[in-house]
Amino acid sequence: MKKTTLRRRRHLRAQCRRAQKKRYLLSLRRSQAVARFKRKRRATARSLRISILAPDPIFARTDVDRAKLMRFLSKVDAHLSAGKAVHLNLSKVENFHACGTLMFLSRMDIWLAKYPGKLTGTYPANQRSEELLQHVGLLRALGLTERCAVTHENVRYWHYFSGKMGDAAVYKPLTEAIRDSIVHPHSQLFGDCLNEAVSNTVNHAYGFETEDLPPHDQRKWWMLSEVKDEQVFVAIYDWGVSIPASLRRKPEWKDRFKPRHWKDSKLIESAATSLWTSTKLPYRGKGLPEMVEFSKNLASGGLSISSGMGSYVYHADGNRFHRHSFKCRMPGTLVLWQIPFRKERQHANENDLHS
Amino acid sequence: MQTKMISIAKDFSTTPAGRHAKFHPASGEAFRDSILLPALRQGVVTVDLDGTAGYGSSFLEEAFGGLIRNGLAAETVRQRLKLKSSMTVYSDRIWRYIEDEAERVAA
Repeated sequence: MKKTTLRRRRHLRAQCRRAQKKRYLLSLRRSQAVARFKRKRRATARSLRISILAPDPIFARTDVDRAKLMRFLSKVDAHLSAGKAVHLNLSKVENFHACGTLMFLSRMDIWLAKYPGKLTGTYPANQRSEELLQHVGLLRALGLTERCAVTHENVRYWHYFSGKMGDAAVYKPLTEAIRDSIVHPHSQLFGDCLNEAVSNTVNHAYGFETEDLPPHDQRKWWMLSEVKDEQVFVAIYDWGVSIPASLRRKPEWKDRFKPRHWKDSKLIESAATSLWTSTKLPYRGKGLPEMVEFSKNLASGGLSISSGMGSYVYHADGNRFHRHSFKCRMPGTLVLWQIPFRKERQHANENDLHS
Repeated sequence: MQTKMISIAKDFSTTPAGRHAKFHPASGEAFRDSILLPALRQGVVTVDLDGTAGYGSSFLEEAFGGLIRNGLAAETVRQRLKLKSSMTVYSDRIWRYIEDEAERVAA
């Protein structure tokens, strides 16, 4: 065997060192590239995910608060439809009212179905707000851990239901628990009113196509109840075509209102107090008038029907009606009852509601 | 002529609501077509309205007013239909829906 010369050995050692250096540089470059890629991916994700601050209060019956809520919902809508992920910053929310909360929760329902995995959120800073969002299942829907026990008295009485069909079995626990405790000479008829409100939504809310309707599988009704200060608030909402739009579309209504340019509030009043309906059938259209009739026997509280840019409100104190026009449009229709609730029955019914 | 007793809560649903079967699982249309109308064609029927979580005018109108729209003579309904309810408001409403529909059909 030929002996390797010193020069040859040096050359081989140098070649080996160069190969090692090359391997090291390659691995270094690879890890640097991976790090760069990860940094870039994080940055892209950050740029695609936007954090949006929820307003406080979540309320829809004054122009200012409704406008804030609608701006918030529209902003989330716009980013989600642009393909971005949205982080809902709920940290500042302290005041949830049945009207606005139902609009928010129902929209959440639509977003979660339409844009799965695109919504995240923060815990509210306020303990009661966190309990409330946990109680109605929103924290879980946002991927947050349910970390507190629901103990706040007001929160325990919030109940949230939704459905696509007019199935009264869905909200039967609420009907049965509330109807025996409300202060009304014919409290048993409360179930009838709820059924009619839901039936109206199912039959009429999504009666024709418009640009801003939810996807077909999300054309539902949503219901929320809240007991506060010896009053029960029951809200029913849909993201449908709205009462004024529904009535204006019918030829016989167009003829009737063309010269007068009736406002939305006047149209809602007509639908709620007369037997005129969008179906034109003489035996139809008893739902809203029935709700108004029921409310006329309340000792206090009342009924509010809001849709489009108007609302029609009955105040049981003083037995008076009033129409109100809003600057900010409400998509769909919100029916809200405020009914006196017997305190002594409240605790008895708690078990019924939670059974 | 046979006499039949129908309890809406026991024989149909404890949560009847709504007008049409397309949108409501326990609708007035379903109750009328599957239970009430066949029974009334055979004889006298007593409908027990108690035990449900409420009705709503859509259900009552379609179930009872709809009898006339579906070909049963108003006189036959008056003779054969009996109502049993702890709340007279339901019986009153049902008879009003039947008479209103009878008037409309006659006009």
